[in-house]
This record gives sequence, structure tokens and C-alpha cells, in this order.
Amino acid sequence: MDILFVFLLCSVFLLVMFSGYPVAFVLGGVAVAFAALGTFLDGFSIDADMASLRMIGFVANRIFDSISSYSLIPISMFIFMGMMLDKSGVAERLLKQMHKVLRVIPGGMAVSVILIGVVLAASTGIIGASVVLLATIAMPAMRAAGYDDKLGLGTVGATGCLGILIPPSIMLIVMGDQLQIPVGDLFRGALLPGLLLALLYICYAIFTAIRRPDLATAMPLDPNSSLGDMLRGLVGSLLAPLLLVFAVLGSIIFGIATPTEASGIGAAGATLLAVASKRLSWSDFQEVCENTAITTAFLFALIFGASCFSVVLRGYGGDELIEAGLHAIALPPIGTLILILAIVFLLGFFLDWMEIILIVAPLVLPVLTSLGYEPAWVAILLAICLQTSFLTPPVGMALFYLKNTVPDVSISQIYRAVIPFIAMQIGILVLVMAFPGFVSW
Amino acid sequence: SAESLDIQSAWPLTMPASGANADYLGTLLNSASDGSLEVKVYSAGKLVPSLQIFDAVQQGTLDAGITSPLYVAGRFPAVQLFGGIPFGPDALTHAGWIYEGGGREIWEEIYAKQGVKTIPCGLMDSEAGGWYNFEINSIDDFKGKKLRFAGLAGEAMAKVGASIVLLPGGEIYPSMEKGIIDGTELSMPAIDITLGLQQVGKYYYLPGWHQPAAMNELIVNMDKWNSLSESQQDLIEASCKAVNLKSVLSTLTQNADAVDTFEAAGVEIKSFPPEVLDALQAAFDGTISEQVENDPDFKRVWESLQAYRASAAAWTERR
Amino acid sequence: MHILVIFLERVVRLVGQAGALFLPLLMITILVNVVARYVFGIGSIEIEELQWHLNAVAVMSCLAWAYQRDAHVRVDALHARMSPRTRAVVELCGVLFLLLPFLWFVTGSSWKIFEYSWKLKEGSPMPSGLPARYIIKFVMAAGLSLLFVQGIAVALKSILTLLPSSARKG
Ligand code: NA
Ligand code: NA
Repeated sequence: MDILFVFLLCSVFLLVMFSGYPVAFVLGGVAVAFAALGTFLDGFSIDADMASLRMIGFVANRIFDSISSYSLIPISMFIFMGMMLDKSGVAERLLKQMHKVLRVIPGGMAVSVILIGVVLAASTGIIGASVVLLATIAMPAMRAAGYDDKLGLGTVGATGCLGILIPPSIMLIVMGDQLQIPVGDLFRGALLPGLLLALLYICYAIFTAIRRPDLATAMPLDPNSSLGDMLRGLVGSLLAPLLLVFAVLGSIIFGIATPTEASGIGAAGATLLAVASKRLSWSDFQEVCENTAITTAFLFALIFGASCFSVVLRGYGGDELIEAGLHAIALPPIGTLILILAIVFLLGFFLDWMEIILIVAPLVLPVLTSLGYEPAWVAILLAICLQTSFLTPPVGMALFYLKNTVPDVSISQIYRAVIPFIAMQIGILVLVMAFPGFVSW
Repeated sequence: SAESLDIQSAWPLTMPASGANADYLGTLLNSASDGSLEVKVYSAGKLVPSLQIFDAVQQGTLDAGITSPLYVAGRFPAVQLFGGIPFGPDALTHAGWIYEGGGREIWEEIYAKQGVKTIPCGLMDSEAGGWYNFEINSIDDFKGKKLRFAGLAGEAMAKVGASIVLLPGGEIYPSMEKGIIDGTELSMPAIDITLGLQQVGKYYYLPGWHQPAAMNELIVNMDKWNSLSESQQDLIEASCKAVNLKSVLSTLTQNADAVDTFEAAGVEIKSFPPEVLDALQAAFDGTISEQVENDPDFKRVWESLQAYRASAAAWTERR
Repeated sequence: MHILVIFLERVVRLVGQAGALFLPLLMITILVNVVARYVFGIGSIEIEELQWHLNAVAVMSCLAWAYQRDAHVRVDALHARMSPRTRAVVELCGVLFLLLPFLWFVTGSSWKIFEYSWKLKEGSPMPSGLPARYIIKFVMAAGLSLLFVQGIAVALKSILTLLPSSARKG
């Protein structure tokens, strides 16, 4: 009986989600409807386990627990840091300088987009802003240089998503909170896989350009300015943000400060940079505060909605069902791991990382650690796997951002453009599975 | 038909003593009630976050919870004394005070006003004195040190000059490893070992002055409690007594094994010098007199404890 | 009806704008905490607790405003292709059958939690922590109620979109 209701609950959620109504409210609303169904069934003495409207009473307790959590404070501060750096114009200047220098090598403009993407990724934990920023600045430049749209779109979309893996990452903060894994360990563990992924993207861009020079044209240096000047300009615009990023990430990864302390310092440092670049008016500052608060609020709304959904799912015995199911299949441990990663990959077609981490990860992680796997390693594998959810249709946030920013391409063009990058992400996933040393160093 | 009782534990059911108690209580009630009770025990956080269990039981959204009175110190400062007292008596005397010395009556009275029934459930042996990365030879050694310490003991620590840090549970190990904190109080060795601090802590101090004994509680929504038959109520009461015995006995060898493991891992086991304890006791006395002054219930509980300790002293101090 | 929507949305916006300014306060609080601890060796339980208090205020006061500014994540695949009228229908049904029922129960229990905390004059479990924990419980209940209000405003706006244009004036 339970299995029917669990199946119904999940499929109704997926269906209603496609109406386009905000996901957080769909999670909460569908859960309340099913809780009411539980109460109704109870009236007919049909056993719906514990599911009932009474359970919704737990949700406010859970919401209070989320807003009073120390481990979630860095979310708002890292978003603030990213938005402030965005306002300071650092990334734009950097991209212009780098384009100038790197245009001589095959695929050089794509390479510079990827490098800037890494800097952006290391300064914020959200991806929306970086996809939009890269698409706004880089797409016109690459088109003007005769780059193929497929390479350009794929590079921009995939690179913009690096921020969710390369620390600081909101995804890893939420994961650490949910799974009780130290955030510093997760940041440290995600660093090498994230950088490797970026390196792989770079190799791909160069290789594509060498194989098909017509797709990514190399260009001569601008005769009006000397290479030395350009390099000096590049170093000048790179120095301050890189120092900030190293200070913030270094102090977390090497444990000089707690994640909360480092995030506050990062936010303040980015504000100083913006002030120093003389581009920060009071209204800019207010805008950064407001956009940060709104982004943080929608992330928390998803936490609240997913919390409500999980509690009703549990009321119908969903977590026991999944645990029993995974144990019943009786695969060898590595088989269970691959199965779970495959499920997460497939769920990523329809769901966002947030729903997957909040609802699915707490169900599967105990099963995996009971098989003897290191929790931090499993968490990083999940994180790499979840990166694909941004790029896989039909629900991929990076795809939507890209389509909105570059309206003259079709969504199917974008789908095709990101396929090689998804393949590279899976490649890194396999690599990290084979060599856990990339995570625990 | 069977009466159902959903119990949320404040600790993972796999945790020695405190968590295992909840699991044991559920098994015991299900089998001993011969089917008249249908008990389901939920592991930490499955329904309600640990610190919100009291609210959920009070409102009746949750039937019952196994938790610690320390967790409601912000709501009822007085009851935290049942959950563990710095420089308090040992487990036997602590339980003696609660069951035979009038402690329990006050405890029940305070909760009954809130519509909550409480039953002592989970007697705990002494905690350890904590993990430190520095040696403690005089009280000045605490000055400016970053320590994770909770409750009344944390206040006393702050009074002697330590800088108290509040950290989420998952951050304790890395913070200790990286030196973000210089020391932390945790629990008893059998529970401490699950966090693996022996790999990062240099010194382990025994015994813990901050909690020589503790009592956890089973709290039940009063309407739910009243809906149970008298025999069901008696069964729950008796089962909790069984839990107390199992809880306090289960950890003797577990603690010993854990301490052996710590030593083998190169941790130095030490004890606090008497003059450090005297200074901490003086700081704690200051904290207590503030609390006694601020809260009449706290005063009542504190005086009840002092009276019981005095009345038993001629025997307990000479054992 | 039109004026009511404008009024409700203005309240939501003002609360959100005020709440957003708690973020720089949080940043400063963290800085003060860091400097006090690492430079002067002083730790304060109040300042540590203040951090999540400030964060909670920012989050809860912007929940409703985020909906007003359409910042909550949606699955755009079909939504982007819908006509304005179809979108209005989706929004109206979403508010009536998903958002409001969800908030009805959750907001109700939040107010109960606040009321109880207020009755007890609940403080931090640490004696020298921040005294008035009921303030944050109030902020939680108020923030969810504000989202409820914003939900009503969105529903009214959707109805206005769906009404024939001649009826909208009244
Ligand atoms: Na990042
Ligand atoms: Na996807």
C-alpha cells in the first residue's frame, strides 16, 4: 500500500512542477495535499502509516531549525561576495584583458572564458550570475571572432556551472549541513575535481580548434598594443580578486577560520575591492544587498518546501522503502554506488540539485556509508554528478539562463552544445571514483 | 485495539547509551505490552529537530520524545539541573535525588504546567573532561583559549577567561584538527570515540567536572498520557527504570575500551589539578548564585538537590 | 482591487528592503567576532548567536518579496511558452491550491510556536546568550504570514489579468 502512495506523491510532484509554479511552493503544497489524504484515509481506517495533517505541525519546527542553523550562515555571505565582485567589474575587465592575450592560440577565446569561469567559480557559490555574465560578455566577442555557436554556448554554459563544484559552493554548504560532513572537508575534496574539470574543458577547446580551425579561429595580436602591456594589465586586474579568493578559500581549506568567519571576511573583502574600483555607489550597494537577500530567500524557501515534502514522504514510509529496496537488490557495494549515482544523474534531468540533496541524499548516504564508503568522497561524487543537472534537459537551470541571455539560438541548439561537456563531467566522475585520492589529499 | 505511540529520539539510535536507550525502550514496550502498545521510535531529526522535540510534544504534534532536559534550558532553566550538574553528585546519588529525594516531583510539576508528562529515562555515567590541545596546569591556562563548552559549565569557563565558541556538531573535528578551537567538551568516552577526536586531540582529561552524572527523559504529551490505561502507564514507568539500569551499566566497559583506544592512538590521559578544579568550582558557584537569584524554580530545584546531598552526605562522602 | 494589490505589495517590498540591510550587519558582526577572537582573544556568546539571528531576519523578511520579484525557482520548460492568460491561470491555481494551503498550516503552527515562546519568555539555553529567542520565532511567523499576503496579492493580480479589460477598472 505504502509503495503506491510514495510513487503517487513523487509523480504528482513532478507533474505539478511542470506547470511552472515556483518549485518550493509545489513541494510544500503537494506535501500538504498528501498529508490531508493521509488523514482522509485514516478516517476510512486505511493504513497510511503516520502520514496525516498532524505531521505538517513538524514543518514549522524544522523551518526554525534551518533559520537558526550556524552551518547555513555562509550561504548569504558567499552570495554577497560573488554579487559584490560582479558589481566591481573585476570579471569584465579580466575577460577583456585575457581575450586580448589568448586570442593567438587555437581556441584561445574559449580558453579565456574557461579561465575567467574558474575565477568566478572560486569567488561565489551560485551559478546563475556567472552563466549570465559569461554569456553577456563572451558570446558576442566569440561570435565576432568567428567562433562556432556550438562551441561557444557549450563553453559558456558548462563553465558557468563550475561554481557549484569549485569552492565556495552553496551546494556543498547545504550538503554538509544535511549530511553532517564538515564543510571544509567538502571544499577541499571538491577543489581538485573542479579544477581538473576546468582543465579538461580547456583541452577540449584547444583540441577542437586544432582539429577544426574553422570553428575556433586563432587571431593575430592587436598591433596597437604590446604584449608586455597586455600582460601587465592582465596581472593588474587579476591580482586583487585572486588574493581575496586565496585568502577566503585557503583559510577554510587549511582551517585557519571557520566557514562562517571566512565567508564574512570574503564579503567584506569584495566590498572593499568594489569601493576601491570606485564603481560602488550607495544604490549599487543596496542593490547587492537586496539581490543577495532575495537569492538567499529563494534558496531557503526551497529548503522549507523540501523539508515539508520529506516529512510527508517519511510519513508514508518512503525512506524505509528506499533503504529496504537498495538492500534488497543485493548488488556488490560498487554496484550500489553506481546505481545510486545513475539514479541521481537521471533525477537531475527533472530536478534541481537542491531537491535532490535535500530529499534524496539523506536517504541514500546512510546506505552507502554502511557499505564502508567514506562520506566525504561519496558526497563529492554526488556533487560532480549533480553538476550535470544544470545542463541536462528538460530542467536545467544553466540552459534556461543561456536561452534568456542569448535569445537568437534555439533551446535544442543549446542541448546539443552541452552534450560534450556532460560527457566530460561523467569522465571526471569516473576518474574520481577510480582515484579517491583526488578528494582526500 | 492497540494504542500507538510515536517517539522521536534526540540522538541517533546507534549512539551508545542515550541513543541506544530509545531503541531499547521501543523494543521493550512493544514486546512487554503484549500488543496493547504499538511504539515506533524515530532516529534523531527524522520528524522534528532534536532541540524542538519539547515544543512538538507540548503541542501534541508528536506523542513523545526521548531527550535531555538540558535542551530546554532556554525555556525552563531549572530543569537543566536534572540533566547534569557541574560538580554534581555521582550517578547513584543523582538518581537517588531524583527518585527518592523529591527531585522528580518538582520536575514533573514544572512540566505538568506545560501539559507535558516527564519520566526519568536514561541514567548516564560521568562525562569525560574533554579534549584539549594544551596542558592545564593552572587556571590561567584557560585564558584566551577557544573552547567549545555548553550550558552552565560553559558560563563558568567563560568566567575564568576562556573564549567560548558555538560550533555545529559536524564542525568539531575539523576545528579541533586545524586549531580553530583549542579544546572541546563532548560526552563520555564511548560516545566521543564515534567522532574520532583521538586523531586530532592531544590531551584527554578525566573525569569531567562539568557533568559527573546525567538523567535523560521520556516526555509524553499529557493528553496522550491520560489516554493510556493505568497498566500501560505503569509499564512505561517500569520500562524507563529498566532503561536507566541498562544505560548506566552498558557504558562501563565501553568507556574503558574507548579510553584504551585513545591511549593507543597516542593521546595523553590526564586529570585536572585540584587547584584548577577549585577555581572552576568558585566560578561555577558564581554562575549558580546568579541563576538562583533570577529564577524561583531554579532556586527550588537547587535547594532540593543541596538538601538531599546533605542528608546523604554522612554515607555517600564516606563510601 | 487594484489599489489593494498595490498597497499589499508595497508593504511586502518595504519589509524586504529593510530586511536586506541586515546582511551588511551580519557581515560586520562576523568581522567584529573575528577581530575580537583572533586579535584580542575575546569570545562572546552573544555575538555568535547574533549572527544567525541576523541571517534569519534577512531570510524571513525577503521570502515574500522574492515571490513578488518572481525570484523563486520555476521549471520554465512549458511556462515560457504559455500565453499571459494561461500563466495567470497557473499562478491563480498555484496560489489557491498549493501555496495558501501549505502556508495555512505552517504559518498557523509558527504563530503557536511564537506564542508559546513568548509566554515562557524563552531565551538562549546559554545563560549569557541572547535573551529573547521569541523575537526570532516572531520573525519566522511574520515572514511566513507576509508570504501568505503576497500570495493573495498574486492571486488578485491574476484575477485582474483574467477579467475582461472593461471590468478591471472597478
Ligand atoms: Na564556487
Ligand atoms: Na537537468
